Amino acid sequence: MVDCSHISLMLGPFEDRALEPHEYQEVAFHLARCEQCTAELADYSTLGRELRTMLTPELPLAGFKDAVMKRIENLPVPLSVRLGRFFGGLGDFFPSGLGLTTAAAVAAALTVVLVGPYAQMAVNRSAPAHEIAKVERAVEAVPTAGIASLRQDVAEMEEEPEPMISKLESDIPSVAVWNEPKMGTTVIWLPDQP
Amino acid sequence: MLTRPRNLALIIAVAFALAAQGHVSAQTIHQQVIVIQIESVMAADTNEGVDPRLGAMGVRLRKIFNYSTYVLVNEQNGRAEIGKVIEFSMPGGRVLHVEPQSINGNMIAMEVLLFQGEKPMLTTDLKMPNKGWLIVGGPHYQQGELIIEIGANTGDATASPTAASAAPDK
Repeated sequence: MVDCSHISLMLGPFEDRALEPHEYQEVAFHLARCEQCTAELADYSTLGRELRTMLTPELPLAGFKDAVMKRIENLPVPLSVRLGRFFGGLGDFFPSGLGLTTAAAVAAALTVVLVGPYAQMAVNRSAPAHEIAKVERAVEAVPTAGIASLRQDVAEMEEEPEPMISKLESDIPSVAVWNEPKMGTTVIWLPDQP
Repeated sequence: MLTRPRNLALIIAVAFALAAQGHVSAQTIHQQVIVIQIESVMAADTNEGVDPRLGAMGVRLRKIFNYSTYVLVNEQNGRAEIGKVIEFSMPGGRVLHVEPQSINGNMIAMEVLLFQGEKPMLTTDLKMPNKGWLIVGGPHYQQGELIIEIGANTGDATASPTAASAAPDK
């Protein structure tokens, strides 16, 4: 009978089905007659099963695809790519030349409308109603005693900017210049020459 | 990556937009017209009072000066675009040139030249408030002083396109 120590060395490979056919036959023949080696092989089998159970964790793959797709969608898209998609979309609706010309005209018209003086005039002309209501409420809340000082402040704010003379040339000596701010008038006086 | 025709379209669009914007701005600037109002008044100490035709102008003159007589000699209106000179013939052979130069907020920048015949008497650059007045007084005219009131405003006015005399010279 073959020595158990010799068979014991081959029990692991036997369990893993890694032996040569004649070695496999030899071990199987021995195991049929040796309870000790059979018990040892059973231990190997139990140990292998437990190890495989420990080393094969179950990965939570539920929702994995959706999470990846969501992150891809949230990636920032470069401006050139967005413009390319926009003009590409226009090209689908129109023949290429007409589409490009239309896109150029639309961009120009939008720029003129949004940046032009007419838009600024429209913006300046429109006073939000809620702002007006807020100012009216604030004025109502001012105590009567403070109205005089408020009016004075408003009058100072609305005061016209003073005129300014940057150049004055005359052959007449002693030219007098003064302002009459309350009348919005500037006076240049040319005196009679002696 | 954009293709070459798309790049070309973008360039055309930007150029078109800039050109249109410049055209609109240029139109806005060219449409700026200043209404010039000129009133020539003879002021003297002859105790004849204030010419009723002067209206509020007479009241203002009496607050500024101490003459006893104010007579409206000549009244003219004109419209001038920014950067263009408008000429007024004044009493006593004087000539007035007014050139609106720019508008900044409520202020109008102007150049004013006063000639005696062809000889310059006064050259001035000034900024005055919209609807404000510049008074150029003196020197001697007839039995008193000639006071020229120059008003400028940016609003609509009924003034004729060219200078016109509304009151005859005295």
